[in-house]
Amino acid sequence: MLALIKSFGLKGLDGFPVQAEIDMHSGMPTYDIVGLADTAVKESKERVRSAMKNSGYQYPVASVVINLAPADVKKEGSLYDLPIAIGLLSASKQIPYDSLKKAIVLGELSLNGEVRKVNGLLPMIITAVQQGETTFVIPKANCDEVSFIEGAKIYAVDTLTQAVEFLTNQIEIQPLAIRSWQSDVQSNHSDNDFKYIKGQFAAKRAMEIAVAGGHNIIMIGPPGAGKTMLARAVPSIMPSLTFEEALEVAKIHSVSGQLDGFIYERPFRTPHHSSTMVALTGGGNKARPGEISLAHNGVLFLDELPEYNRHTLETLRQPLEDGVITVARNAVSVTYPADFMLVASMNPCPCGNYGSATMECKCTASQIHKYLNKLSGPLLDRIDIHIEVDNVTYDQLQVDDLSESSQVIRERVNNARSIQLERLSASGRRCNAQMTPADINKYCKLDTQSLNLLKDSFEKLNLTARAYNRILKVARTIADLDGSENIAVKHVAESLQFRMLDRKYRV
Amino acid sequence: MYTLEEKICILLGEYNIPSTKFFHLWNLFEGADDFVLNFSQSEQVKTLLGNSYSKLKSEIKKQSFDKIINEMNECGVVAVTWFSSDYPAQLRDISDPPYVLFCKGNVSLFETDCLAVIGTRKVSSYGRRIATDFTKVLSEYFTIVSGLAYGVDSIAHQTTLDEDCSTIAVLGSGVLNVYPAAHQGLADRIVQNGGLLVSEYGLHAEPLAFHFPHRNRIVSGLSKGVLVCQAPAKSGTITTVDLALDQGKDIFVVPGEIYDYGFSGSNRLIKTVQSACVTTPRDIVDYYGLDRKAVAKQSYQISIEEQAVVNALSCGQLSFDELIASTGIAPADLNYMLANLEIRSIIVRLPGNLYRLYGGIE
Repeated sequence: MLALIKSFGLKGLDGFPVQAEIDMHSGMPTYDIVGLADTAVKESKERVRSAMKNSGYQYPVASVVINLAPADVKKEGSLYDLPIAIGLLSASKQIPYDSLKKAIVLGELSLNGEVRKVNGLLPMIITAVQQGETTFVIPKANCDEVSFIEGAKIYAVDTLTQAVEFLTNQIEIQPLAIRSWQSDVQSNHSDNDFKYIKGQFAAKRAMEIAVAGGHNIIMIGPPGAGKTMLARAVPSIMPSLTFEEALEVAKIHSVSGQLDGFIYERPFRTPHHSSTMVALTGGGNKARPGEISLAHNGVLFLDELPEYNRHTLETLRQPLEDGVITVARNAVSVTYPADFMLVASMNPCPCGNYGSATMECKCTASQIHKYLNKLSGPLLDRIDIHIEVDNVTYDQLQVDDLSESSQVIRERVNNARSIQLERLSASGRRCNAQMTPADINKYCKLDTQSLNLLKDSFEKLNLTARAYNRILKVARTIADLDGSENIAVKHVAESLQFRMLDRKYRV
Repeated sequence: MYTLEEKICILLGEYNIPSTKFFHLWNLFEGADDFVLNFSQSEQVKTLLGNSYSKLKSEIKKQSFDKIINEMNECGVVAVTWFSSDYPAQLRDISDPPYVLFCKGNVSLFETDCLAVIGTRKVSSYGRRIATDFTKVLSEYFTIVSGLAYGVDSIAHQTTLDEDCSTIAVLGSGVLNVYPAAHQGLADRIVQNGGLLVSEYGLHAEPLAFHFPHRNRIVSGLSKGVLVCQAPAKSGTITTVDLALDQGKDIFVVPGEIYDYGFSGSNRLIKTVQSACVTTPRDIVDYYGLDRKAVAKQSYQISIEEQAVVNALSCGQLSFDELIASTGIAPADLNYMLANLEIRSIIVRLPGNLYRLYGGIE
């Protein structure tokens, strides 16, 4: 007898319907899976057999053929265990096929018959709901990630037996309760709050501006100055995640199997500097998302920037500009979102003490030169804010009272962001960092006083031409933080402070 | 065009024959014609020149000077040789003078009063300040001579260019092979601004280690005096000073902190060389009895808060955080004020987020 069970597959960040067709006829006991299944799918045989046996069912002695339709699209992963098992049971008439509930079934089986978590469930269910599907049977371990999806009845099961009994109407299961989105309640930055960072006023101010305008930022400072601490606190002042943003992030994390529950906080990714290009951008034969996509809507923190492979860094240029990355491999080509805020840190020289008041720098001039030159101009071009972070003195560490908390800063950031959104949403952009030259012309008009200041500063401060647009963008953000409609001279002046690497006073 | 004597100098220079060998060689012959005629016959020449001999022999026999001279003309390089009338007079007096100088730029600078500004490649922010402030004033009176190296040398050249004055860079490599390569741009600007690149080595000579102490004799030789901005105890700067003392030049040294290794050489020079200590560029101007030029002082109006920042900095350099602690100004406002003060040249920003008063020295 033939059984058809509906399931789903994953291609990039979108799902596609898969139908598991299970047929059985007399003959030598065999088990064949067709339909471009990968090794994990093919190995389902052993899991399904043990799970059925250990759940008290009979594994049929017959020639079994399983087809995963559409047959010309690759299927991968362990998520077809459950549909195959259900199909086998109904094909062998252990359960009535005709009265089975019509549901999309997804789940991995363990040998003892438990249903285990699968990867990529969230994007599959989202697509399925869009395509009009309403009933789903999923592993219980996955239920957190899909609990925000409206318009579907999702039933979470623990064991094969439970799934079978539910589908054959022997037991009732309550569908998952749909939760409403309240990220404020769930977000918790207790450890990395700006109030615990002592001193570092210049850096904190720069961070606030960077986050307010979505600008990328690089910190230059000696080891132990607190660069990493500052970077870790960045998510705590970023605007709270909207549901749409969280859903995008959760989808990517779900696909890469890194989703535990749901995403309530902006991601903070810190790939080590030994990371390969593929780890960063995404790839592999299945074209998985890389670190920059996992940092989507959040922060990508690259510590010790010049230590990264130069080639690896250069690949960041295009996603920094476009906010997406297209990973093309021979079988698949997937476009993942990669709209992250880049926070980078570096030492001023290989030994780290150049410019330090207390420590002696042991580097030669050419070493320093080489070190700084590892960062290409086009890459620096995409980093709007450069700041120096110096060591905190002992006295400052002894100050007891806490600094301004992240909550207060975040409110200012939110205000600035909403001004930007109002201004830029018509052109499809969200923050000042995304402004095009045309936007800059339109929204960054300067008065004569500011123009004179800029003119003087280019001569006096050794600024390069590539700094010009960056200064205007950052000045726009500072004005927004200030609640000012026009860019005033003081906003321009402050933004001039953030072009350290352009200024050729080093070496 | 070049005489035969000069052509010989150019050819030998291109082969990097050292000046001592050249004069030894030259004295073996009676003039240029004799040199060309009998070069290949002399056994002494062969022992003297070693490896370069066989190549030079054929080139001199064929009198094939055109290749190198054509290349010089194409690249705007002129040669000033021992036999030229425009050979710098001050170099004729030193021991071991160069017999050829490949020059790119304004050769007439040799006739001006020159002052060497030298110091370490690993310059501290204090040393940087000395080099900048002294050069700024002195470049109005002298042509500044230095070696185009990292550190003090490049600051001296750069400051001179900023002041629209001319400067001479003496290279330890060929004039068409600027070392360090990072200073190619600086070298180009020096030439464009009426300055001069000089080297006694062939056009594309490699920057070999022994070239540098050797070229230092030209740096000091061209100059009336030598200003040492920052020198640790063991450094090329000290060898230059030794050469300058042998040549009878004036030595000026700016003192540094006694605990600072970077100034150990400078401070030792102050102890050993009589009346070498200078604390303002005016000391040097006065030493040579030159007229003081009136400095146009710009005055700025600054706000009360900016005055507070200036007052806080009057005790020495401070970091951004320290400024906030001592003035109580909000970070956003302080950023704005610092940028403004810097543009008006009232304060200077140093690496490490440090600020100090601009404080020109009088």
